[in-house]
Amino acid sequence: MLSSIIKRSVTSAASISSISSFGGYMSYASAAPKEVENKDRVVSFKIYRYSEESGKKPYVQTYNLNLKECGPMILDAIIHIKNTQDPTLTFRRSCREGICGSCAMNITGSNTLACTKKTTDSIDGNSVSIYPLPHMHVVRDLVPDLTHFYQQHKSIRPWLEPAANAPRYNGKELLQSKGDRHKLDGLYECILCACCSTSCPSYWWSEGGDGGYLGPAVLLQAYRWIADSRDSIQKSRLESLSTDDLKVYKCHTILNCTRVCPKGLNPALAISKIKSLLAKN
Amino acid sequence: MIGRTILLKAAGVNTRLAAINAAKLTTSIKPSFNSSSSSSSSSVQRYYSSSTQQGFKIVETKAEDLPKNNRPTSPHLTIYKLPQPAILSITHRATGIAMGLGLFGLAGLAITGTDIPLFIEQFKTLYPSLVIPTKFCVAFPVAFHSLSGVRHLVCHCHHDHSDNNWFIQFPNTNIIFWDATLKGIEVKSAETSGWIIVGVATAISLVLSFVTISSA
Repeated sequence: MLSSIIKRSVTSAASISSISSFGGYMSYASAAPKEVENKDRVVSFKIYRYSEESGKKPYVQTYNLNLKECGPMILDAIIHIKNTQDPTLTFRRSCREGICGSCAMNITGSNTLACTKKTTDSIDGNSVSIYPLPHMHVVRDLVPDLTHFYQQHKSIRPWLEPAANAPRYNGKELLQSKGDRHKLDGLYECILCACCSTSCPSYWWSEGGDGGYLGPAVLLQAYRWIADSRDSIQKSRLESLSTDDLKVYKCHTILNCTRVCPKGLNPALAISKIKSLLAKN
Repeated sequence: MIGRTILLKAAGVNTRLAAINAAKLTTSIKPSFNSSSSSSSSSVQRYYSSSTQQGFKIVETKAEDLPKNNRPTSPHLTIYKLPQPAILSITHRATGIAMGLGLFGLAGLAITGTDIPLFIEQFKTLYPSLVIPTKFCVAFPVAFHSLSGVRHLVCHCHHDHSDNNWFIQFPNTNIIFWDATLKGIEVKSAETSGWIIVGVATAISLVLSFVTISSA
């Protein structure tokens, strides 16, 4: 009864993304480890640690792990560390297959999802360094505070605003041609993991103002709704993006976002398309 | 809405959950505590004891009662492996600042009455071995910044794609990106165009370093 209450509260918090902090609660990964490494290979995992309760400053803790003992991905490795070495190690995870975006973190100098990143691809000099998403407020260990990011997403009105007289199938479904539907490819797949936004130096350094620079993830989403043929408020969407130059024009096209996107999307291109639309309107 | 933080104390491990989004959590956690009054102004404390030895203590605290701004910012520039386009972007800014300061300095000296050509002649006679490196150091920022700027040139212009042919484009490639053409905005083409810019800028600067323009 009691543990079910706890589990429920954890999973209801997971409506955003779950924080794993209970040893044994997520032991599925180590229960059936996939052995990718046949030989013993001990790699040191250097992981950023911070806990408000400890009163200590953030520090990097090193865990030595034999890759033979755990699954192939970074997430398998850190879950294994949590289960066998240190139950206080805290990180978010949920789907373990790259669709929820919970386990976004900085692995060996680049943002990615821990669940889809192979450990053997991230080893740099026999060690793997793992940090939370860059330039975010750290709640604990690898868990960043994404409140500001979600508020920015909310600010672009991420929902359809169809015209009152839009043609509807059976009086309900909004119609869209195949061509118009294809315009949304490469946009709708975004899982809002924040890998791209937190890889962007412009996003790191423009928090202030009216929400500041919106960042690649939110701008990709902004464009996703602007590009939708069923939407009727494109003008107002573009207007609200141009109320503050910082919202869009902090992008300097360095493509860190496109490079790190775990879904292979191109936020930089979407931002350029927004700029182009703003210039034309 | 009153935001609360829920502290779960289990087996000596404290977990602060609600910090992600206090307001959202309050709503999402409500079904777990159906008797929880949402309008209470004081902090609510609830104790749950279990049949096992480990007891759980759930404490709700209002968001405004939490200590503020003591969360550290996660490391960024020091741990991020910046890729080539990012480094070129920083170089673009650095060369821009350097050129600005250089121009400002020389203009300032000229205003205060310094004879700049005489100054340069003196420099040439005093340090003849430094002439070529110095010329390179002046030429590179100009060449690099111009070429790199051309890549962004039409950034904020009013622009129509359809009948616009005045920009250079390499045949059958997407290696140059312009905000107006929306071409070459991919990781590989950005790197290619970046290396072209570095190469051409270095070549131009080298040529300029060894060429002497005699003033008639």
